[in-house]
Amino acid sequence: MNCEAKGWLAKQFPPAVLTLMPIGVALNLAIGTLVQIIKLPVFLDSVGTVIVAVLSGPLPAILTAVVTVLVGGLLTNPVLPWFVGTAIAIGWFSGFCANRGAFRRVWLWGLCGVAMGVIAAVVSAPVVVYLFAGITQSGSSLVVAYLMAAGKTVLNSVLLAGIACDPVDKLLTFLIVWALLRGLPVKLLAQFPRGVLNTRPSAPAIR
Amino acid sequence: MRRMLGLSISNVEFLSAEDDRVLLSLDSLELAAGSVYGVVAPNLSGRSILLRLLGDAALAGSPRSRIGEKRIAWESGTSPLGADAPGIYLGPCPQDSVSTLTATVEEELALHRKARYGDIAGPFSANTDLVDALMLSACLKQDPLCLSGGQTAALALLCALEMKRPILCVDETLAHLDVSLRPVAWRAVREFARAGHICLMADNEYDLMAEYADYAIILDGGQVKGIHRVDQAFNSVEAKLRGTIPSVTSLTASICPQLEALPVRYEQMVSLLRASPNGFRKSRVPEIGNDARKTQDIAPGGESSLVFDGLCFTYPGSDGRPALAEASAALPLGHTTGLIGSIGAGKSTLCKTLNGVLRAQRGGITFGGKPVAPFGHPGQLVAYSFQNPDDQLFQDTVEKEVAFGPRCLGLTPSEISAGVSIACDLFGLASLKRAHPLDLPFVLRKRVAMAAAVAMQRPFTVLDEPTVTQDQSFRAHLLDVIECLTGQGRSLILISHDAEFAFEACDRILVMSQGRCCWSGTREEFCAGRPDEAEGFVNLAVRLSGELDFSPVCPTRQALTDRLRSQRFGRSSFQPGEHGCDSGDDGPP
Amino acid sequence: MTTMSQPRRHLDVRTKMWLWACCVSSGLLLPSGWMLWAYAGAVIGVSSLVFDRLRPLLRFAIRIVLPTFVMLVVVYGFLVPYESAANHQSDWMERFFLGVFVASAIGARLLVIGTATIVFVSVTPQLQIASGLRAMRVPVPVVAVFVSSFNMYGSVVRKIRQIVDAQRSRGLSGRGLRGRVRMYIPILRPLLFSMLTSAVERASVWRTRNYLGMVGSTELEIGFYDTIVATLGALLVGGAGVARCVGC
Repeated sequence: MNCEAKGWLAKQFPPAVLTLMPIGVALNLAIGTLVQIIKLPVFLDSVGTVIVAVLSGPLPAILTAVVTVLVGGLLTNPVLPWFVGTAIAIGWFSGFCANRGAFRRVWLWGLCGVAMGVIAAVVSAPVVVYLFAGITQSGSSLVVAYLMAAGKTVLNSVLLAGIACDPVDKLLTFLIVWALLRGLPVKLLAQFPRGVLNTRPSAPAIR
Repeated sequence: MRRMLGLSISNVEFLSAEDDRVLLSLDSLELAAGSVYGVVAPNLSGRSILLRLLGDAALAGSPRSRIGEKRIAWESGTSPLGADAPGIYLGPCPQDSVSTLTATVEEELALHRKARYGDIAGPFSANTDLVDALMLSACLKQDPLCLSGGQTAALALLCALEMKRPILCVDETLAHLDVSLRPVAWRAVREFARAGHICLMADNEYDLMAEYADYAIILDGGQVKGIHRVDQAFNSVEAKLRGTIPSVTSLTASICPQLEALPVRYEQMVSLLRASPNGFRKSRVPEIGNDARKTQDIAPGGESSLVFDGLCFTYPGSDGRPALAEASAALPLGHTTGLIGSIGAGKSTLCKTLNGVLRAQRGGITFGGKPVAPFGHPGQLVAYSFQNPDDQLFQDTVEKEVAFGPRCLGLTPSEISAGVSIACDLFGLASLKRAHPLDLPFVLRKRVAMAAAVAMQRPFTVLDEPTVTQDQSFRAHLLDVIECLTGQGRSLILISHDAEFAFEACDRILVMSQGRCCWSGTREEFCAGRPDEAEGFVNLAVRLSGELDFSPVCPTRQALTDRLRSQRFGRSSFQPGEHGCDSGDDGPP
Repeated sequence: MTTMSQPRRHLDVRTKMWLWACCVSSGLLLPSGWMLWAYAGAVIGVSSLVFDRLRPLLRFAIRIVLPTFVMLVVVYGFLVPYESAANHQSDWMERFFLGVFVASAIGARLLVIGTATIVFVSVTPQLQIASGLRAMRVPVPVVAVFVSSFNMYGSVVRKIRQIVDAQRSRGLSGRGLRGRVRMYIPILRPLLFSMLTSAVERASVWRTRNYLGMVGSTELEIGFYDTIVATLGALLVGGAGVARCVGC
């Protein structure tokens, strides 16, 4: 690997980002505990990925999402690693949106949340269809069952159910991340490469 | 390995992140190898910044810091102190010092020896005697993230000593250790320094600093006021009593330009409380079993006590070991009760059960003779200020944060407003009401959390480790606050490993061990009786009662304080039995 | 006196990883039918002999495999329109057995994947997993992130419970849907603040131990041979999944 590539990678992954990524992974996996305590019918399994995306950019977010599915496969659910494609898509898209200012304007993150839900549904549909015959443990399987009973093919049913249900979950994820980061001190956000730029560019310059 | 002789830095300035305010400014600082430097400073005076600059290379290289000249003197000559500054910094939160790259304590101690990850080279070379002395030998196979705060602090210190870097900076890490282990840790640091390293220690326990440090660096307002040999700095009675040194006493008044009216005098506080319309004037006690909004007034110092009987609680997944095992005691109103016991005794579990956030599996709680049903309404009778304030702070302003608890309990707007105002005044936060709590430094966040608990205006308030990271000036102020609140008929329950503070603040003691309350009574009875379970506190209490020729009949708190002030607080070698405290005594006279 | 730990003898981690990969790939490649069921039975049977703690497998089977199985039977057995070859009319018995056939095929594959993974995790210490990843030429920073995440999961769960207790002690309660949604911020914001603060502090700890991002001992080095090995590994497991799809 040449020096330029090494320098670029070193800039993408300073120590603060290296230590941020495990937190994103742990948040993705542990937030299910909170959902069980509060008893709300949503997943919120990408909150950590989106936070890493906002604070560090797409590459660390992709790595966070990939490690999430791998560690989740070892710790909680062995079928998670098969959704690595979905994880990469979520990580890249949330980083892309964050770098384009999605979290600086109130309405923009809403749009991006919906778009990310659609992308996640489209990317995960083949995995659900061909490895799980269209049925998983999520609530959208009921919608899939209904559509299949109505005569649609498995792939179409999974796609339509995903497009109907996933955007709600991802929209809520973006909303929560936006609300969380809004309340954090600028000094703390400044410790990460894109923390202030992606959330509060109008804040006074922080060294 | 080449031997270091010393370190010198000059023309140092560290700027605030938001504006050009200078947080630390040094003309020059020279430190000699082989010495332990105690950093004596009030809160918010740049102490942590100084330690971080020397211990953390990234901070030294950040755009906020300007360092003119920085050199290390080696035997062979001098070299510049570059981006790879050879220092280690241990912060006030020991959990943050755990790398999370290892599965056991053993691996954590050996981590630094791996050239590349995955190549752990055999067992670690740590001083096994020190591992035993810091009581980590039983934990070597445990997950470092599952250790208690004290064990994590011990692990962090051991890892730092293992790495044998030229500079070691410890910032209040030892405050998490058990009282009996702190001298062990200080001795270990002194030995480490004697091997040719520079150690800087920030600790509000000036007694230990006086005994084990070589020099005291006096810091205030972001400037070094002087470096003195520690025997010169700490030799006055006043210094030992107040925990400050004479040259700093006047400086502690100017703690931070943003804080006003601190310390607030007792008379001022009483007048504040009396002037409030509905808030703190009377002890407001919710009617038992009903909505928390209905209250009944009781006279301060009345007969009502919070009595718990046979409380049992076991955490799920704890291998059946109960956290509370038939805990029974009575906590009267209008008193300050010190809850003491070793780590794992069940102090926090008991307070959480009284608060209502945990549901006891057996046993009952009564107040004023009537059974209490706190389970549906946590915070109904007992407010709790947790040890880590960051577990509770989330609002945009200090005012909203302090008002959150009262609002959840359903108090009226006037009650909320009065409670917030008084609590902020009591803890010196009056000028910070509009500030963002998460923007404040840790010491102020801790005060916000305590103010939030007091603002709930419950008959009982638990303060968990209120003096950790707080300087001596605030500790003295906190004693006044406690006296003021108990004078108004409230009760406080203090969980503290700071034996001297607990001894001064509490008039009742409750000793816990292995989930049960093994002793309860007044402080005077405690000093005479000396129950065996609370070793650290007992040793201190016995020593104090022996040195002070303390008689169980002590007329008032003021008289006790006067007597303390008239005596010396030395670390003299005290032998049980020398001063009339026979080890055969096992009960109040 | 502290005693030093003696290393236990384990199967080499690379061997374990290849065993896991082959087991999972076989489970994906075998066609639905008696061969797949026999294979799944053999995997579970051998694992039960080797591995005496069946609770994680039982939990996986009850929480994930069983609901999926039941739903598949219902969907493919009763809901999906179906015409029998014989008389163009749906025969409920035939539909039911078709549903059971599909469900058991998927269930068998899930059980093979789950059993192999659970056994692998149970018999492989975390240090070995990290060494195995390094042996497979996974870059050091990725391994560091992987291991750190593995270790932090439990502490984040504990932290969430701590914060929930702390906020509930102040009277926070969620009644109704709106109340429960409003509980998120008082819990997540303190969690995120303390996690980010500890990330900043931990970066200093990693720097002290020479984990400097992509330089020092965490320098990213990928050679030609590393690329070959990683590609072959990915092809084996991923290709099995693709072949499964094509087989469908």
